[in-house]
Amino acid sequence: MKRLYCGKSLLKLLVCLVGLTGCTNAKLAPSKGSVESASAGDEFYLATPKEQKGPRRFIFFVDMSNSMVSGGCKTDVDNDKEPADPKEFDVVQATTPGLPCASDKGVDPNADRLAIVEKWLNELDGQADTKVILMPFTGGIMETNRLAASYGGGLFGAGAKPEIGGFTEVRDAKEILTRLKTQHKTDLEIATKGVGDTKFMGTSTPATFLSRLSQFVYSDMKDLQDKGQLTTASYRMFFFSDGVATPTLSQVKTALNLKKCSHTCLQKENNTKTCSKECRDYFQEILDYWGNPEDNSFANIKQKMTALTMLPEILGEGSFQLNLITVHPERIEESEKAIETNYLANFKKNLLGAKSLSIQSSIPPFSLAGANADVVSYKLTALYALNNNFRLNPYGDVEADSDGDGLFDSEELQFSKDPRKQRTSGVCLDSIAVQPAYKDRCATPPEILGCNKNWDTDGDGLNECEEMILGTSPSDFDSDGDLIPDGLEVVYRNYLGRDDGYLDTNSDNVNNHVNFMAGLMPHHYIDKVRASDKVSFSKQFLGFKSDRQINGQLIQTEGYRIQVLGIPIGTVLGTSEDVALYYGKVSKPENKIPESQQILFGPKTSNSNSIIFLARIIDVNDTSKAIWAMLRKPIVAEKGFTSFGLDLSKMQTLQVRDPIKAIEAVKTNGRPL
Amino acid sequence: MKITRRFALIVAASISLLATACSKARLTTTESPRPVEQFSLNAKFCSKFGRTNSQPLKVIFVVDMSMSNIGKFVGSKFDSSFGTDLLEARFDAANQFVTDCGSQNSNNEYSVIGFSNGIISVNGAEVCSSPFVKTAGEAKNIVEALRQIQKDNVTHYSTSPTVAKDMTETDYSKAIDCLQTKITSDLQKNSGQQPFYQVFFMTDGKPNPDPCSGRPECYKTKIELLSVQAATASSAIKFQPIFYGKSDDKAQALKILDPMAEAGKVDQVQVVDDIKNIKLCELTSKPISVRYRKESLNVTNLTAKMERGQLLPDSDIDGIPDELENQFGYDPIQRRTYGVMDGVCKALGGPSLCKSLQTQLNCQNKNNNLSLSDCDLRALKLDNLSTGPLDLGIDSDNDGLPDLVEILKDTLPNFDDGSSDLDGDGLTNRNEIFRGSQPNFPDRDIRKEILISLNESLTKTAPGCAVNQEAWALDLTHVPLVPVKAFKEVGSRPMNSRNDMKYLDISHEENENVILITFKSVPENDLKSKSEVWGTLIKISYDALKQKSISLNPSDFYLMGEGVQ
Repeated sequence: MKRLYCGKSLLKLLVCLVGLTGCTNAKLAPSKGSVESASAGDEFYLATPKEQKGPRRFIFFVDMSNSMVSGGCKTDVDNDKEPADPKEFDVVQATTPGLPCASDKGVDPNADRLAIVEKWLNELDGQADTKVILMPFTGGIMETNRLAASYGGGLFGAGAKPEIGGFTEVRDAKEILTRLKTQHKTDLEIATKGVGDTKFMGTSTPATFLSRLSQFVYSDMKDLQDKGQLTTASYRMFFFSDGVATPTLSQVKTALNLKKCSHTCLQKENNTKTCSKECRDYFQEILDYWGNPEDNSFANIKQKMTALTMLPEILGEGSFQLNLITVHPERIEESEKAIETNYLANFKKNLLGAKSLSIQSSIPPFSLAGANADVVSYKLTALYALNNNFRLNPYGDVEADSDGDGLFDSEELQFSKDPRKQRTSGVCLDSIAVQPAYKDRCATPPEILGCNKNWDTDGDGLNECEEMILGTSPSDFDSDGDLIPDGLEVVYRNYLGRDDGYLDTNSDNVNNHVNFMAGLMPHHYIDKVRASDKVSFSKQFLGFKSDRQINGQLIQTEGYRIQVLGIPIGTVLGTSEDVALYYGKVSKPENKIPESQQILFGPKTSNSNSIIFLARIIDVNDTSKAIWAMLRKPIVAEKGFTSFGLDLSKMQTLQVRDPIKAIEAVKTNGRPL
Repeated sequence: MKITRRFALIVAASISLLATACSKARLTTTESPRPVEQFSLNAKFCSKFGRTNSQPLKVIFVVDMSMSNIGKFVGSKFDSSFGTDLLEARFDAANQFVTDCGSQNSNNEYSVIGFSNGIISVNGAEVCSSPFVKTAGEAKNIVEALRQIQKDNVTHYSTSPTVAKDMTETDYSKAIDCLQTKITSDLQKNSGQQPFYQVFFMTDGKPNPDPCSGRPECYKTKIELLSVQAATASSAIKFQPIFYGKSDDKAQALKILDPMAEAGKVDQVQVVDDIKNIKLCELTSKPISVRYRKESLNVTNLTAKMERGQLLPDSDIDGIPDELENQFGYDPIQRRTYGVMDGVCKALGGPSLCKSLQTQLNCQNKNNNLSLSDCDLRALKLDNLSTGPLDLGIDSDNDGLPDLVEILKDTLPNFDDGSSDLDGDGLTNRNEIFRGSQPNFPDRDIRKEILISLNESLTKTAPGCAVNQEAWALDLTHVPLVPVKAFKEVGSRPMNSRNDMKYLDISHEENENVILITFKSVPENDLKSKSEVWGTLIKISYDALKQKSISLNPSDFYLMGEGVQ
């Protein structure tokens, strides 16, 4: 590099300053010839990742409990402290929970939550491939029946019109919404008068409704999976509530106290001696009207909620995003907002990936149809330039791995495998099949293992059988969350279940992840490897670029000047195999992972090397998943290596699944490959 | 005492230093560098040493057939009540091995050598150059033939005591020479087979008379040669001496058998009161089917402590340099001045605390394989992290740095701190231990002479490594040495060991540095197998004239214990 030297004279200094500015500009300008870009200027900037578009499903789960229109009575079991003398309670009220009492203390008397749902439904109306469920929830069998009455037959029953039996068109949901608004209005009037029984709304037992919801979502997901659409499908749930479940066990106990009934009535069996018939009937009445307090334990609600969010994990496809919306938090009493009493607050802390927000008016917090944040900002969190087909072997020599299966050509011969085929024996990559720990299972037919060798749901280069045998997640591109995709961990002999960014296998003060970035294995001493045998590139941050999309969304992406300074290049055999792996769980042509998206690859011709650039991109506002983009660059082996730049804008978003939260089981069980 | 020129120089240097500088100055890094002696070594090792299922196990029973087995002459009368194995239990042991342990693998081959003052010929066949037999039946036939010979001898001596028959004196040399012939010819006949030889050397007494008599190292050398010979043919040998004789003979016999066990790459001589109690099967290396990966190799000079850029002698291997021990209130030649290792004591809070701990710890000063005693481990509460007896005090935090090394280097043995940088000099603790610097003093730019340097590389094969394990070549190019005082470790024989593990005795002579090489073996994706810590101990004189070139084979590395995961 040429050094600029600035002299002491004023004139010289001036020239020099201009010169320097010129220098800087020149540096930033694209160096033509070395990059293959048509539109100069964009080439250093990440293109907006193309997030997968498929069927869209929205779930509006709306709290229709009494607390929305009315506060609790001082003399009600709702009261947080039971007075010493039960006489202070109005006994009549105990048997009719949900009786309006303090109308001015309802959390959402103006039905802002329903107004927001309405606005969102309007946005979604007419959009392609969009279905919704609008499910209200309250509590108890009687409560449910009361609520159901408004649907002309039953809430979930066959006679209900329109029936809440699964995902429907938006217009059907709108009809339901109209009814809910009427219900709300009716009950608010009753609450305002302060007399009579609420007509529709009652206690709040979300768990039973959540399990119902799970069935609907599951059957819809299965349906989409059969059609091969689940991979790209997105499910978004909006959970509107104040987060307070009623009745709680202590409330039921209070009610029993009021009737001078023993707490043994709570036990279902052997309570005839201590619990009189009158009390038993009374308790049954409580269960019918209020619902079972056991359903309202946090563990139960959380389990039902988790079961719902885990469905994509169970089916291996699809995505589920949970939005927890606290309705008018300013009207909820502080004691009821605590993490011990409020299940929304509890989910916020314990359910990873759930978004938490609140509403205080009828204005939706964001638009569903288009932009959903002020600025969507994409950041590059990792970048790799790798030549999988020609790299340093374990013994310190550069060697060809023609088919890119992780087993070098000489090793393929040693183990009698085909150096031009990734999976010589059918099921496992050769590098996995030769290992004693996996040998037997790799030789077992997939039907017996219970896996499909053609499915690579997460797109990490490993099929379902390999993921099963290795103990990695078939629906996570990077199971251990160390920024190295599972398939490449196999090829570079990294640790599948441990964070290579933390490990330093050979104690050389350079962690395994840095070794990987240099195209080396964990045991290679990076300082002792010849420069020509490892990968090196410079990555200079240039700044941000903003683009406003048609829907008004502002997208911000980063720019980098990336120059590959060294990468091993050499002659390979050329492969005979077509790697037939499919995204998702249906082997049909449109699901087939195209060559341009395969991260384990062998070039077809013998004198070609295929460099892959892999970028890990994060949407700063959405930390639930990572987005990956790739660019493949063929290099003619005989020409050897010459330094070249990367056109970052040409990187294509991969259809991979990389939830950032790795499954705990995988994290703890993993061992090195 | 002979003082080498270099050593004399150091003494002179330190004296002049004492005269000019105050004691404070000695702690700073600006002090003129002390000269160091160094040595280098070549080693080949496996990620896990042992045999695989596919590797033939060749078992050789070397059976003592001396008269003492069946009785002795009291005056002119033969008294069989003095026989150490009149009940023929050693034949039963061999048969039992062949039936219960050996038959599990059809690759196994056997050979039986009976010896007295010569090799006992069975059915007139030549024993030493004959091939191994390949079936359990054939092996048992030879054992039974020897048993018959013993029976015949009992009858013979009872009736005609004056005429010598097969069973007379004990000649180890002939037996070992026969073994040598046997293995050499077997290796020649089956080149490329890479067998694993397991020798059981069962004897009830000391050799008498014999060309090696009075020179224990003579036997040792013979076995060492055998081991080297096997290694060059890419095979390995384990030579297990078993002593079942009278307790009067024990001390004398062990003087000879102990060095043989050492050369035979086994933990120790198996001493049994009665030969019928021996379980040969448990003494054999189990075949390995899981592939292990080598991690975290460490080379540590246990007798040297890096202190503020200086490499200081630590003769008693307690983590406190000799010249600082008095200053902190410890005895420079005692490893555990107050019952707990001085370095541990210092870390916990000093002598007074340790004195009060002594009674509370309720420990017996028993060492584990890495010379940490139960007292040390209790004091550090490392026993709480143990998940089984074999991982106690080995690598409690599972960071690949053995607990002993962590204690000596002042890093935490109970917390995975390998990737942190205690002194903020940009080198991780793991890397500092690897290069031999001090993790808690910024010494990035320390002079190279006092650091360890090495090259290691994965090789395609190494003699003695099973085919499914990694083979490594270690080229230790520079290990600094220091002048030290002699030291004797007083902790008793190891607790919680297993037959295939070895206790490393860190006792050493004057000026003998003790170098510990360890590495971690991590099973690849096999949840049932535990990780392991392997290692070896090298004692090398600071005196350049006494040094010899060292090269190690895979069988020179021993299993120390298991990891906690």
